[in-house]
Amino acid sequence: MKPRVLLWIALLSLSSPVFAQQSGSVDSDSGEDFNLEALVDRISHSKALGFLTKLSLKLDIDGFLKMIREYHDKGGGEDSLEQLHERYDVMVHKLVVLLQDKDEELVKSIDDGRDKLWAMLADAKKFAGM
Amino acid sequence: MKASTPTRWNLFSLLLVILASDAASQTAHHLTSEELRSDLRSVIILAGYPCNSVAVFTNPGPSDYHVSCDADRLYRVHVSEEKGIVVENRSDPEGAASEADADHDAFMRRQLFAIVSLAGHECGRVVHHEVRGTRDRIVTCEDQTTYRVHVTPEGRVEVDRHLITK
Repeated sequence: MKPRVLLWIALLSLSSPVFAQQSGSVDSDSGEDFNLEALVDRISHSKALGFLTKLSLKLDIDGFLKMIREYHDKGGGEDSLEQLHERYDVMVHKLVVLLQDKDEELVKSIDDGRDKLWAMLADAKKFAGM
Repeated sequence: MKASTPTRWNLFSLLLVILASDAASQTAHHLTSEELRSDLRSVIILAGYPCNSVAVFTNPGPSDYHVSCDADRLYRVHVSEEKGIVVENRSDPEGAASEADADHDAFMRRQLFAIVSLAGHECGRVVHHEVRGTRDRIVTCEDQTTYRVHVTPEGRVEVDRHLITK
């Protein structure tokens, strides 16, 4: 795997055991395919984000995924699932604000996939089985 | 959690620091000054500090930047092996502009501060926010200016001045 791709997988915390085994397409509830790997690859090649910005985003995403993992492991956490969803939404907002004036197509793809990715994160079985 | 997870994370952290050092040392050579200014501005805002524009920056060492924003705000941005990216407020070391994510509300205020600031609006810090609808919020900054933060059907995040009608 190219270091750049590897980096982005790390940046988006998709390197966890949960995501490491994830192949390209995921069947969503609606039956549509959601190609997470392709989306990550496009973000990795987007020049709209500087490297330091990517590193900063990674820290937030790391913390968020840790909370999701704890929520599922313990059957609850400091934040409710609704609050975790709020965190997820504003973090996606932030990514979109950073990208939207420079990579409009990527923003559209993120918008298309955001609910599908949340559905995967919020469901303990999907999260554990991915 | 699997026993191998910490090792995996340590390896990725190490990889990130190596790549960060490499990339940061390359930025001065391959990025334009404007691209680097934009990157530094974003990082400072993401850390919770105001920075409307980067006036001047120096690069005294690898992955180490001294940044002056808006003529009177000084920051140091550097990559730490332990903490990743670190932003220090040199103008006011005791300043609490960067709120720790002590709780859910503090986290939300910091994220919303970043969204409003990245969209180009001045907001020292967010003092209040409320949900208006699906992906639609009203955010109040410390100067009592309010903004509507919402997502358009095209997926763009818009930040608009919001006038409160009583």
